[in-house]
Amino acid sequence: MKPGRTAREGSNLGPAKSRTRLLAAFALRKVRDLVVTLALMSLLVFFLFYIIPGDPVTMILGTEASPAKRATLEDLLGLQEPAPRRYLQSVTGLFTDQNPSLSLRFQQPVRDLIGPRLALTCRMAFLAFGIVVLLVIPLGLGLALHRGSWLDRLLCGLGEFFMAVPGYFLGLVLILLFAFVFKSFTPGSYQGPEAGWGPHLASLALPCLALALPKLAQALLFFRTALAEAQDQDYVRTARSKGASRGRIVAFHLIRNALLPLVTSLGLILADLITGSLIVEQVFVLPGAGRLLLTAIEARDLPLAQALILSIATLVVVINVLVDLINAFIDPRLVSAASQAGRGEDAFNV
Amino acid sequence: MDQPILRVENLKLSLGQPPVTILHDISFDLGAGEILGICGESGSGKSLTALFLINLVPEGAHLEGALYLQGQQLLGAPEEVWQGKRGKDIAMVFQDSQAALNPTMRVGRQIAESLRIHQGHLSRADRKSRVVKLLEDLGLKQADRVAQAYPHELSGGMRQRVALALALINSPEILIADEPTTALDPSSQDQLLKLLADIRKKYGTSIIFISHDIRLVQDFCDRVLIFYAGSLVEEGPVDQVLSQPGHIYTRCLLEAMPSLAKRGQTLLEISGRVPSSQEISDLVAREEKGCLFADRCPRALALCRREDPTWQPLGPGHRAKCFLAGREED
Amino acid sequence: MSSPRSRHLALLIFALLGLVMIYAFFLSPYGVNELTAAGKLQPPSWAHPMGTDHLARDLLTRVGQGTGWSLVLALGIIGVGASLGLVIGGPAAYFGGPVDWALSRLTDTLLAFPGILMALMLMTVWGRGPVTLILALGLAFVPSFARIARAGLRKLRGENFIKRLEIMDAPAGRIIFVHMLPLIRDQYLNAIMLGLANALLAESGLSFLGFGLQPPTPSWGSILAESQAYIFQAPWYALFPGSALVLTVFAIYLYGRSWQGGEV
Repeated sequence: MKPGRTAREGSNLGPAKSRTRLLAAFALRKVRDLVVTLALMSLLVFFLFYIIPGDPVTMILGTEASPAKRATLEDLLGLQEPAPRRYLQSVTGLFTDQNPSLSLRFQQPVRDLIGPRLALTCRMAFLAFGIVVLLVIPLGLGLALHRGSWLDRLLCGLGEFFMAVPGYFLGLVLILLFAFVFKSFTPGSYQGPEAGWGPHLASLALPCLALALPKLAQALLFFRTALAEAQDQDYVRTARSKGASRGRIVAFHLIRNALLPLVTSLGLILADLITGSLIVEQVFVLPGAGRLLLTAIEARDLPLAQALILSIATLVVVINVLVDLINAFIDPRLVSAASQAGRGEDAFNV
Repeated sequence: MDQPILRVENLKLSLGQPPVTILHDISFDLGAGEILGICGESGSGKSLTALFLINLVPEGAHLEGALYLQGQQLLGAPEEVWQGKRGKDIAMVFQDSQAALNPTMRVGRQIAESLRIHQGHLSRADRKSRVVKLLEDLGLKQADRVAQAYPHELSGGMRQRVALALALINSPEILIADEPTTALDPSSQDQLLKLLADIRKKYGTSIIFISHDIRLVQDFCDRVLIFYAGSLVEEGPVDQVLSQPGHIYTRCLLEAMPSLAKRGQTLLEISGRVPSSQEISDLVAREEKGCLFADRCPRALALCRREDPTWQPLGPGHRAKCFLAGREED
Repeated sequence: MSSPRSRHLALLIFALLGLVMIYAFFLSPYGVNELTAAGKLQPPSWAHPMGTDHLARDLLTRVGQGTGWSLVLALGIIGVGASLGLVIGGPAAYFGGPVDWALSRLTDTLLAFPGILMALMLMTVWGRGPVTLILALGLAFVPSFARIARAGLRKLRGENFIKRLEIMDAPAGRIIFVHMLPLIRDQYLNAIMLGLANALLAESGLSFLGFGLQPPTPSWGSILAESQAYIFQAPWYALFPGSALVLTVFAIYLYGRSWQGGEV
């Protein structure tokens, strides 16, 4: 046993403090990647909207517009400026009050237009997400404990079916069901937050349900598979060899290991919910970001569309990073994988 | 030998639908404080036998025979009874410590879990100090830091010691070690074997040591069982079995083993392959008799293909299921 | 559900859809845009098994033809996505190094945009219509296909037969597309099946918003959009095209799963 190797073994082991440091470094790396992705995304949108079409003015107004109109729009879009300046302005214009990006159609700062509508879209997405998260874990565990029972088969069949139902169609069906069976809902009865949170949330119940059900089905089937896979792992056999009961094995060994793939899929689901609500808003006539985006595209309101697309995409990217961070907490292997790469299987040099 | 601490009688195990018999009529004893080796090629049924001993055979397995643990017949006992035995009276170390440890749990907690299950009265601090103490006893430096580590942060040798600690924490009477050294390099293998021998000396633990490598059994076990194709073919004290092997299969195993004494000679190779459980099951179903090794045996007689071999006594505690056992090579 | 049973169910649904399509395109006595004598928003009857829409057109004919158009659009989308995915993923896996890094960053950035958002963005610039829809959604599907292609091909990269081809100076394109591609075919076809279901969902979503085929040509999404205003007067108007969509996607999931040989 060489002393040098012992020391090295010790440094690999690291006390709890260095694990926190690893975690911090991991988070920092993720944030760096996030900044790069965001920069690339905004550049991409800018290029797509203002550079590739060649002449955004013609794209917006068509070829028949009068020179005076064209000149006003050119001014409005700041087309005299060099492209890099315009790019920076289009990004900073989202935040600053001095020189805000203006919507062409509404003649208002895009930030003011987007704020409340995006908030509604996010509220719907997160409420639906809450439904999914609250139900998927108990249901998944129930199914894993009773694998092969009639309930398991029924829910799996239902799950497979609901995965195929798009949220907006489910919305239509729910509207029908409630109107005919419960006689309690009429579309267009949206209540804004100013009407009080109770009525507001009540008016969001059906849209959120329509959004949540297909995604719940997806998450449930996924979690069930992850649990089943975890159940076949060797460490479950080890736990049994200790005399652990079934409940203990589920609580202490299965959940955490199955949570890892579940969190990843939940991240994708949250992103899907945000874009899904863009369409579901249409069914329930809700004043969310989706309707605003449609108006912007219709009117070729490039600054507004650009701002909306960028903010939604930013949201999605941030969610992805959060998922990575949560996973790093659940699975210690992810954090040290990078920093300990290249370490081979060592001998008994302790 | 005193009253055996573990006794297996006429164990038969079949799996699947239609059932395929994997283990055929296996009986053996484990004495208190004894180290018993089980040797055989992969697929000979030794690992399944080990799992049988702590009742962790795959779901749907059909079992016959009897299993006495400290005099109590446990075959067919309900799961609750077994949960009280496993990890307390009889514990197991698995082959691949990487897969056998939960990757998302600190190893200290995994060891302490056994204490929680079987000695619930202990306080958290007690549990912790016992875990660290045991890890130290097993030769791990910085034991408190090892306890704080996750499995992937440890080397293979350290992980295998952790797995050993996990099995030993409740001082079980019996330890089953299923190829515990296979994933380790030779010097770590030696250290682990020494450690196991020390454990027996220190705690009086009876150990069942399973290996495909007859060399490992040689220095370390008191007695050895030789498995072939799901059957027990020879048993006896290690010295006897290795110096005067009864079964031709055991002889072949020994001759196939490289050693300094055989330097320059060509090593023997056992031709052919082990018949699969399916093939054996089919033979049994057709009521065909004969030694299962006959097709590969260099010295098979006509009798070997006609009749089932019977146990031939070869010395105190030494016997082999081979018609040629005890006959000198002619 | 067991594999053969789900496959049979899937094939049954496919056959049913096929029959409806054949009827709608070739056998139906009504034209797809013909204003029939039955009147507007009629409930299902023998003459009009799915009823009529708000312009008194036969709904069965429209849903049947809509199925056809939706499938054509989805196939187009997947065609664009899967082929460009190979074009990006192939070289990334084969050359590795800086090529891989650059292409991976590109797909990662694109992947950050949810598919629908990406398509909406492209259609802001290109305008609406079936061709732009196919291109826009097709491009939105490229990153995921590129990932699958890269992952599958990378595993093959180290194989000896590829090294031998390299020594023989076979051109890279030939190695990738003639020698490596067939080995990931099943895996890729599987991704295409799943992609087809997702493309149908995405396409009908965008058509529902009015970005797909322009009226009066029907697709599931556009019929659903038209039906929305009459949901209380004529619920079947929305239910028939919607069920066709759900059944098709369900059948593709089922078939894809049975193909993998068991549970996913």
